[in-house]
Amino acid sequence: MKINTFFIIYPLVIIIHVTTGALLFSQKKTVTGIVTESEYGNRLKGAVVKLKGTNKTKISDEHGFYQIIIPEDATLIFSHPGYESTEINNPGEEQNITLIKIEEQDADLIDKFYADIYQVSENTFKNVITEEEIDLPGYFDFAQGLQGKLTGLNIRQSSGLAGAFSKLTIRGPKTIHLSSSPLVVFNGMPVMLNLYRDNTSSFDAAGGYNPNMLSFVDVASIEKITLLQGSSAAIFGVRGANGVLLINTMDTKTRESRFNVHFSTGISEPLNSFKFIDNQAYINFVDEARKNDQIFNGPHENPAYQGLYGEVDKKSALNNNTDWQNKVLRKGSFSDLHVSYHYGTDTFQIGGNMRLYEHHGPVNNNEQNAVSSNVFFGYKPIQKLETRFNLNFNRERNKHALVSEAGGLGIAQSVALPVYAEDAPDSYFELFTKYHGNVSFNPVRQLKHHSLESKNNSTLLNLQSIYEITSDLNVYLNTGFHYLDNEQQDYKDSLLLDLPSGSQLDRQNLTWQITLNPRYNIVIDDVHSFHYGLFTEFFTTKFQQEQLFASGIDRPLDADPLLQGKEFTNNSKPELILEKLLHEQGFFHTTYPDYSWSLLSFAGTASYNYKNTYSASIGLRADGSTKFGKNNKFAYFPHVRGSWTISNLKSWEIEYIDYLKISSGFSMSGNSSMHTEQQFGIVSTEGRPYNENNTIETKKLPNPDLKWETTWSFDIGLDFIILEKKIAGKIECYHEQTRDIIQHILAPLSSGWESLYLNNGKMCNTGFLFNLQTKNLQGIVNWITSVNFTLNRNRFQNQDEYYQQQELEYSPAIPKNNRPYPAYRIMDFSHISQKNGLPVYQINGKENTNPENMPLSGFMYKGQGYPFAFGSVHNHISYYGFDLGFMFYFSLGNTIYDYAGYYQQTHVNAWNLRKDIYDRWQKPGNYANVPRLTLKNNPYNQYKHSDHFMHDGSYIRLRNLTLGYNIPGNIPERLRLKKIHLFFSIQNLFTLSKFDIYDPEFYHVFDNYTEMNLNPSFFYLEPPQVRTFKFGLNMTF
Amino acid sequence: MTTHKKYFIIILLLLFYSCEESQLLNSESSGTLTPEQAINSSESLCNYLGSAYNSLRDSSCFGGNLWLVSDLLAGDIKYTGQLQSWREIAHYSAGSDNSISNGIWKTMYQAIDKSNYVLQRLVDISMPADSMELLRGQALFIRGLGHFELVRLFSHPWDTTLNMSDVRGIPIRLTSSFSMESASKKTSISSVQETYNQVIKDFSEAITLLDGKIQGSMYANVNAARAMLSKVYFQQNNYDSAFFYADLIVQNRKYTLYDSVQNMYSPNNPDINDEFIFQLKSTSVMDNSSGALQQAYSISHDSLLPDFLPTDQIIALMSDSTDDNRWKHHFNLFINPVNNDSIFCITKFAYPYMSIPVITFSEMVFIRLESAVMINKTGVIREDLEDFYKIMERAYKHYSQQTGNDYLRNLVRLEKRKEFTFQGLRLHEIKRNHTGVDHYSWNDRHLILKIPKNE
Repeated sequence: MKINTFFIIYPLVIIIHVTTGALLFSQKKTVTGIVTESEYGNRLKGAVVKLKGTNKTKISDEHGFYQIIIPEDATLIFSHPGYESTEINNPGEEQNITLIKIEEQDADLIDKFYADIYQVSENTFKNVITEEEIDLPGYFDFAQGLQGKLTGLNIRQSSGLAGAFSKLTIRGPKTIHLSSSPLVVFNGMPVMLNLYRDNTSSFDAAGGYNPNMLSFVDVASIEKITLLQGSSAAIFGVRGANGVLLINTMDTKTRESRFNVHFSTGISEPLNSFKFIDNQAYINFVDEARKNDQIFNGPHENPAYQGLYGEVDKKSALNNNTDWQNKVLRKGSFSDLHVSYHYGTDTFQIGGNMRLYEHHGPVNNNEQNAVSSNVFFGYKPIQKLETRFNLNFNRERNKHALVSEAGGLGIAQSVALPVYAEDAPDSYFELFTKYHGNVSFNPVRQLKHHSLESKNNSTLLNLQSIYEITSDLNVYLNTGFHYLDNEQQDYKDSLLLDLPSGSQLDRQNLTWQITLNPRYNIVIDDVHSFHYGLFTEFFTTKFQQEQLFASGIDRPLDADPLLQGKEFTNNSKPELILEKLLHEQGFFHTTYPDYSWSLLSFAGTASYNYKNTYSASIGLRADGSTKFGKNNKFAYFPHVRGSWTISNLKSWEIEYIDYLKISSGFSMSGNSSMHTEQQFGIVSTEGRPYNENNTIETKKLPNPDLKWETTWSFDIGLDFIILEKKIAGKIECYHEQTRDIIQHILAPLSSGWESLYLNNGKMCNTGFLFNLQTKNLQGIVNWITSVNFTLNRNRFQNQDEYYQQQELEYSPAIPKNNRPYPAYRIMDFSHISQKNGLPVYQINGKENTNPENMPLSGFMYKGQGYPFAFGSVHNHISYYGFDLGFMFYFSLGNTIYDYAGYYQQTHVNAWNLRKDIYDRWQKPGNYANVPRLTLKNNPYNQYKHSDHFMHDGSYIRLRNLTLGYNIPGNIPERLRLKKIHLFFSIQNLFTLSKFDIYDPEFYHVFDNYTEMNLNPSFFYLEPPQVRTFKFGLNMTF
Repeated sequence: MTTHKKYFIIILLLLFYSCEESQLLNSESSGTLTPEQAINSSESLCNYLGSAYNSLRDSSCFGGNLWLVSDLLAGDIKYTGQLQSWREIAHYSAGSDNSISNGIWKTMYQAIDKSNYVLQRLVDISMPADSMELLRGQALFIRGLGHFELVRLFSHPWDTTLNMSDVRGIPIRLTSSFSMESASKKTSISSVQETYNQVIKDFSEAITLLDGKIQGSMYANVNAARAMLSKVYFQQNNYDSAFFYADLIVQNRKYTLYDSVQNMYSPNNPDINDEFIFQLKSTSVMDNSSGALQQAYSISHDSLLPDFLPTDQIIALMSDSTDDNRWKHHFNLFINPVNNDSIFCITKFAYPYMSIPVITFSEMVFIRLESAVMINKTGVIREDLEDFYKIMERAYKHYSQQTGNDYLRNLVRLEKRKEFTFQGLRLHEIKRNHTGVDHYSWNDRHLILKIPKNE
């Protein structure tokens, strides 16, 4: 389907949507009112208004207002944590109610109630966080703000750059080649993280950047985030295996005019820099390495190795400033302004917000700017129909700092400036450029003269309708539309290239979804309650991509007047002229094939509840996808859940336990994030000609049996509230097995094929989740502590390891039978030989002193890439108007592989050397930690991947420290304000870790799932994390 | 109200079925073709077979490594580079995971697989009988050639025992593996006897099919099939049959010998085409069949030395007679600028590009003559000496025309070795003649490459 068609269809659907709702009109009684509390008469937010004998509930808004449609002669139950429940028989159309406070309000139990209402998970688990918590100060983006707050969700930030990518994992890794990130559902609409990773371009990894909406969404507009995992995520079927994050923005309950301004600003500083040797040391090391080579290998044949690289004389080398990190890193700054307005009456609510955001990252030229806006409109044309319309628009611009393998800071640390002037016209870098064609490795220059910028526009439109057919039958209809447009500009000027050149990449993604969901409730004698739901969904998404290259231009392509306003599409006629024009100017233009895929789903659930004590539910979802091979079109995912609320038993008499529930679930869910065309074979009709005749070549085999990866999960949990509701928590154990993992399988070579992409492997994750919320002090000082802890044991299982290919050449990370995924395939390092300064390895209990001849059997498997435990401890203390919050975050047990150490610390060339090279072997008899220096370009035959480069990646850090103050009394009133809150926060104040080379939190960004999954702890040359200091002000009018 | 519920359930069920029956989940790949779509005519089948020729001339096969590996094992060349996998081969220690030997294996089987696919699809596509026979014959030829080269390198030589059906050969692939299922399935390893039988069968059928068809030497043709069959029999020391097929070609007089060894393989030398029975054609520098070979023997910028150098033995042998033109033109003295050492390099293939002679008329002359000597066909010997002397003439100014079976046999073997240096012949001659390399005898397991482990 062409994108244009979507634009036509979508408004049509909306019209049908609204009109059908209005036609299905019928009469009912509406009760509205205000809930207040007894102590001060304040209005109560979050009170639950429930129609007795049904699951039908409404919640009061922040002004205590509620509205519910009920049959005549019904009974309403009003409840709120910390207040006595009250029943009202046959309420009037306006029914105000005051709830009597039984003790101090327990804010943390709000979570439980939200969870119950949304029927996501019947527990006190920390799987929901609300507006107030998300809006913790000190964070820039969505994922950052979530770290440590949801039990079971592991978040690792790639770096502190503006717009940096964060990796989200739930319940350990489950896949090798597919996405391991959770499904993100934004206002009912699935949006993809890592959107472009299967149709990748080299730009995406540059700057640790990741174009998806969540990297620039307005955090302050999010009202609620819910995490679903294991059996509770099973209803998401083929997209649920990695867990689900439900994100909801602005809501509907406002009944008055409210205006809110939130402003914050601050600075950030790099947390780390590398400790490199200076020019004098470098010159000495070059001499020492040359001497070593003469002694051990004879003179080097290559005359290029006679002096310093690039024929720099030593005198000028000593005069050069080598502290290039100083020129690359900087103090960053950011500011964030968020303005929102809400207004509502009984029949309609409107709201809108806008955010302006600017962030200058810790590396020169790294910048992110975003404008977000959100418009909400709720309308109730008739009593039985409720519609909500939500439009979310984000515009973002990101100037990348070239990092990691793409250059910039990474380049800085790889080629670097041990002795070379970064700007002199005849410097080493000029020569280097000439040697290596159009590549420059000068980091300072790279940042000045190479610009890489991306622009994103995201439009998300949602329409939800709820129609009440009868009091026990409701129908939910949801349509969503998401358009994402990404443009990337790359430009290198004439100081980097003889012929300056640029490229422009344009990508569009359009997603459209419609769901229909009738729900039916029956209650018999207030004892048995049944709930049935049916669900059908159609989801389709399409990608387009094209690229334009140009050389000999004096500015980036988007700034070129020649190309302004030109449409680069293959369909439009003017393009033919343009094509000619482009050709003449030395441009060329590539259009990539369009990709699209669709998902068609059906699901049914049934649940039963007996006296609020026993409950059970079953469900089945069928997902059909265009991605699957033709022999496997539909996937089926069943789930079963049950719970027993022991404390609701009549015979329950234990006083100090207020609430106790056991629940358990068993389910199947899937992952199908393979490339849209993975099932197809590829035949090229333009193979290498033979004898000047065309040939046809086969490039890839079709796989009609290709299917999803299936995860079976079992979980059992215990929820408790004890000691007069002072302590609430949950413990859960789970076991998950993922089958049919897509792997590259080694084919017998006599088939003519080397590796096949098949559903084959298995992976197990077993874990333990723990969440505890305690009220330590109450009264003048209020002190609340929240603890999150997640333990996960991962094992990859594949008996036929023979068939398992080593996935990556450069990295020792590998899936290995009965080892955590990924494990490292390495040599057992013993010591540096005192005799000749070469590494000595242990092989089968014997020391092997000849690294030239290293048997393959000498490899062993060790370490693990992902942490086995992580969590946080969060304290919040308030005293009069002051509040203090601090959160420690910890991560334990991952093994960092110091690839930079392996790759760069073993030989002296034009690269920077870390100071740990001082501990090198110099002469026979030395005890050393680093092998003897050499100029030899290829140390790989001698220096193997070994446990010498493995480090414990565990750490604990003070993630956030916030001090806030609510301006008291009548000052706000005099300013005609309802509330003023000031805060100051510091992020990453200190870190404790055994890894002393750099910051232990990083995620090396690659442009594809396979490398991302295999290298969670692959340390090369990561950009720094930052420490931020932030001041903010929040005002409500 | 219950009617509402019923309607809903009915609507949902209808929706479910209509969706499941609809085209919503049918997908087509964008821009790429399935093999069935791409290969649907005799022309496209021909083009597909073209990629089988490309596999043969790949750098892993005749384009380089096939000869380099043979000559390393035969001790004619040595490796001076840094690559571990080449070092292993040079040290006779290559295991079943050696990437060079695995590359030969895989690429040769790719050529076989493509031929098999052509043989399978032929029946589905309507075309004139002639075209079909031509395609079939070529496919069978490529399949035979592939199996033959592999069994010689990866299995014990012929005559290791009396009964070669007990000796492990290679998997014989007779069906295409163009599906995940067939590609992941292993084929059992046949005996050497069975492999040779299959090779002979394929070449014989190819002869029948290609007979009377006009084909250039850059494609499989009837004489190429005859020549290969002769070579196969010769490898088995079946001199009668080897003589029979070699004789057919020599008597045919279709091919002539080029009159000089200088610039023999030069792309600017059209006359050499008359000596080639089957060649893997290069048409330009951009379309070079033998890039890997040239790279192996040329002086690289990094190390200032070629990766492959002639061994002292081959230098001694070739320089034995100083007026040997092959010594003059195929070797060159090179002075290392760093230490002023002088080193002999191989310049036999030093052209910007070069076609690969898979089988030549000169080889047929040698096979015919040696076979005749071995089975004592005296009359024939005299006739055939004419061609042999032509070869001698272009090599030397002066040569002896002494006869006598033993003398001739030794001379022919020696001259053949000198004529085909670095063309992958020596190893198989060692095995055929039951001689040896250094301290490895002809049937030593070190002279055999290991079959990849995943077979």
